[in-house]
Amino acid sequence: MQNSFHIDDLRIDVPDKASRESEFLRGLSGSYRDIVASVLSIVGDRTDADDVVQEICAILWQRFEEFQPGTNFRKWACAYAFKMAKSYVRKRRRRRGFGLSDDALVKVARLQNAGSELFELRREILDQCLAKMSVRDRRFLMECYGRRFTLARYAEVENIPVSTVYTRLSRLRQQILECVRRGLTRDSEM
Amino acid sequence: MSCCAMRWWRVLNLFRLNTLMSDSVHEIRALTDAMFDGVITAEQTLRLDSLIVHDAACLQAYLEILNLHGDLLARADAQTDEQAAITALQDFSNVCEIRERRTQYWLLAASVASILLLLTGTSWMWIRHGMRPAPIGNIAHLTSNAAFSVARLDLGDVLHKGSSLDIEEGVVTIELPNVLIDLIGPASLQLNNAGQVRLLKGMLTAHVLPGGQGFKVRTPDAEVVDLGTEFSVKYDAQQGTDVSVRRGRARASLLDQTGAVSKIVDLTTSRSAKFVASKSILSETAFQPELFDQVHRARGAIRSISGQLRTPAELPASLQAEQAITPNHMLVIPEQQHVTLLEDLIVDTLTGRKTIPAGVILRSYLVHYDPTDTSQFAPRGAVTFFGKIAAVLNTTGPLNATDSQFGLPDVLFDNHSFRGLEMDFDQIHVSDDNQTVSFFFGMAPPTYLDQVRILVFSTP
Repeated sequence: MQNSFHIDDLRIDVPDKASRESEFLRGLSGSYRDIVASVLSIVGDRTDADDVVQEICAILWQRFEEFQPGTNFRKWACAYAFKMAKSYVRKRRRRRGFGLSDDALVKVARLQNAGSELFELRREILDQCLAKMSVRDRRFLMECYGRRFTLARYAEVENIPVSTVYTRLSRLRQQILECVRRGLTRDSEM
Repeated sequence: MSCCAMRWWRVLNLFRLNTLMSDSVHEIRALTDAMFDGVITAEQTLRLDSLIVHDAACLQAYLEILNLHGDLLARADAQTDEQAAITALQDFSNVCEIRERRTQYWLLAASVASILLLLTGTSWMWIRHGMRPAPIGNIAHLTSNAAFSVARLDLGDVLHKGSSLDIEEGVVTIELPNVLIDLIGPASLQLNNAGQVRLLKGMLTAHVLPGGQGFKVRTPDAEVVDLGTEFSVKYDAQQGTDVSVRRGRARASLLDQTGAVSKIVDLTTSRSAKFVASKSILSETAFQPELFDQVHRARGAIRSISGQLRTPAELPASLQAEQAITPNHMLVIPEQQHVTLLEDLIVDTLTGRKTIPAGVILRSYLVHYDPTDTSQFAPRGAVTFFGKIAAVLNTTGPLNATDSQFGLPDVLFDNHSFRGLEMDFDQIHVSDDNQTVSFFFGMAPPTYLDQVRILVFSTP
């Protein structure tokens, strides 16, 4: 476990701090992927989702007193995640003048919530699919999804047109999506 | 796979059976990717919404793709879930700290302002000038005729986030991180942040240096995102926005009335386009290289100037003694900009005799100072170039000998012996990185003229 972070950094005083902190971090770590998935499904944009997830993690800690020990942390955390992500999207919609409708957000949240177990299975298959890719393609994919570069910056560094980056990325995304789908089909037939 | 997941998967497969061949599933992949990458338009969002709401298979595909993106993000971060959760908390904590510091700063500033209000009754000016947002750039270059409509700015003045520049005439160069903006008067510009400006009136050219890619210029009609380039943007409320790319590539988007992106075009070297939001016009137009001439005439390949240096608004017809008086500043005049040496150039320079081999491409700049006997002070200043300095010609002989090769045609030069520097009165230094020359020109009556020619290696 990484030790460089202390909940004190958020300047919140709570009783029995040490045990509450470790309980919270345990719950948060176990649910983190689901929180990210919930937020991303509503927010859509990776940069915005990053900001919302950060804020949600802090809010969850602030509201952790409301959490009943012994109940499902993931469910509790994801409920907040959906709520805050929807609120963020509504504000963004007002600011930009466009965005997904409330109808769409409700449907997305409902299906995302119901399908979480399936998505866990997909993650395992994704690892197998990534392992099958060439080192060059895998490295390219990871660079594109990493925080180090935007796609435009990546194109600049590699001295290739940005349209080439998009085309290649799109092809690899399609390839990996199909690989995961094939993997799921195989798994369901076993 | 658990029973529950199996059931779920079968349901999803039923959806897919009905729609796998449908174009809408392919369409939703492109739309979802665009949303994830942050480049989705208003129209595309509307379409995505409709597919999600009305087609269960599309809804499933949307989630499937976004979850895949989420998983790939997690893989790329190469962190465990625990580390990722802690990083998210840390990041938020850092943001909180910045916000808190900002709040403390504002509280402190507000308290001080209150005290000053009580003490002097004239603190309004202090508040305006003292409580500024973060600095994001500075004034790097001014032509001698640069005139500001509101607040007068000088070389080196710091520009803050959110600040505006209004110039009536001349060329003002703003240096932001890895970006040089030349604002050509009359023009009005708002600096939203270090990576984005808003052109409210007039014309600018942007020279984006390595590391500055992604820099944005917005007008009411268009948004231009640099992808490694030199481009110009001209905005007129009646005529719309003209974007020209002199070198490299820029992505230009037509905005609709709400400010949302409605069409996109990638412009490459020597291409131009016109954007009119009110008429939904995005059309390619003839490239006009002369749009960049004023800036190139004014600045050449100068990166920045400081002190009492200026570049000329218009080229003087004569640079002979007492013909181009510069009472309060020195002029640095871009001369011939791409001179290929056909034979070795052997010349006496500031650092001794030097041979510059044939085939080298040079840019030339003449520093000119000709005050009158009423001038009160001897100016100091410095000029920094993008390229390395090849030679500094500071004596009359080499200046006279190189006028025809590097001087601008149709300009008259002085050939009197006092033209060069008198090293008893004048000082000149070249920086260790060989890109900056600094001057202190003394005033030695009865002839005040001082000139120096700087030859700079041409960079691509």
